[in-house]
Amino acid sequence: MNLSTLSYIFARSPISTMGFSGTTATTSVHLKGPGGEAGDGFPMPRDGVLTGLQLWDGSARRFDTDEISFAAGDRLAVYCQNMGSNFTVKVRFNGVSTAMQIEGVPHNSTLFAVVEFSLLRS
Amino acid sequence: MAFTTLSIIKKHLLSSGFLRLRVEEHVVQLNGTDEVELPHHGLIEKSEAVKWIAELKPTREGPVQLTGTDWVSLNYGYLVPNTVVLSLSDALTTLYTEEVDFQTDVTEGRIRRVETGEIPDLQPVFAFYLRYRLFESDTDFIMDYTAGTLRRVSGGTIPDGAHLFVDYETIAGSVTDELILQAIDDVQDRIVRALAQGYSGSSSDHGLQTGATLLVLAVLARAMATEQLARRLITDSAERAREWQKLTDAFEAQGWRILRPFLDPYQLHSPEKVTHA
Repeated sequence: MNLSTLSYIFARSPISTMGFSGTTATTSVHLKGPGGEAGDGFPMPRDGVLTGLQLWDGSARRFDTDEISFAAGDRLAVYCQNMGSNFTVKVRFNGVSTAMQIEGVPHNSTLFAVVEFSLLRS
Repeated sequence: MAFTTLSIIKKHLLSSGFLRLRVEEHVVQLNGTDEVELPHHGLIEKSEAVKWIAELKPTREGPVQLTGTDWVSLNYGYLVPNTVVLSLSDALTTLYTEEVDFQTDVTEGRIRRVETGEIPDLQPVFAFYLRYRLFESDTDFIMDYTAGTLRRVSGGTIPDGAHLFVDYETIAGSVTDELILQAIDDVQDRIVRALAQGYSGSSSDHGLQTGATLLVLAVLARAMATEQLARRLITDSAERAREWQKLTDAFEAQGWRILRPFLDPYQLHSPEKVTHA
């Protein structure tokens, strides 16, 4: 394996993260993103690949991984969907949930979520 | 008439391919329109590729589906060796290793799975690679095949002073018709002197032809060994001379073995001695 090619492709798609947080009750809610507002998304500056979701609910770390492509301009959000007895926390693009999600997250907790993705340089 | 002929020897030389030598990635710098001497002369016409790496970043291609161990062509040939990386996706969470998981034909620009590697059959992958840009003969450069020289064409697309890579094939030695005919005569003489009763220089047994042909090839291989040691200073001259000498010994031994039934046993053990007595 050639290091120059490998170096290039790693540099081409650096790992990025965005943090989301919020205190939940029992109703579905978007977590607040950087800047402190909750909503249906931050526009992505480049094409990329969503690769992971990490979640801390105050007592347990949970995570999911996948490879989900997105396009420049797609809006990224984290949504807590009430499932009755708990939440499923989902990464969303443009208000639509993706397969990147964590089930069984307790109600009435303070959640810290980190979304991992790569942005493609070209 | 000799046991073997010029045309038989030439046929052996061409079909065996043992005289062909492929040189790859030889680095030259072309200044002005000065001729640059390559390590070899007697190059095979149109066998050359004059190239450089014109890309700053690798080409990305895919998805490319790999089926079985079949070769799959990429969009470009003349890939830079050891620059090919395959990944499952742009996420780069799964990367595949050349030779372990896949193989590359850099000249043709092809890849294929290794059966025992990590790439699943029918798996689409993305390929990243650096590739060469090829320059045009006569438009960008002039190659003198006989002399083994290369020069830049003024007004072509090769910048003055550029460092380039050159591939070519060469006849690994200068085998002239004259040399072959001389070898045929010498071998004929050596065999005839050692022939058993009942055989002569005009005998037409196939074994005589085969044995004589091998001995002529031995003579030519010895000439190649000598030429290797005498030619331009290249780092592997001595090693290649040794290889030619090994080939000489192999041809010689095989030739005399085939000729044994036709030879006088008293002469058989020292045919060289008889020849030079």
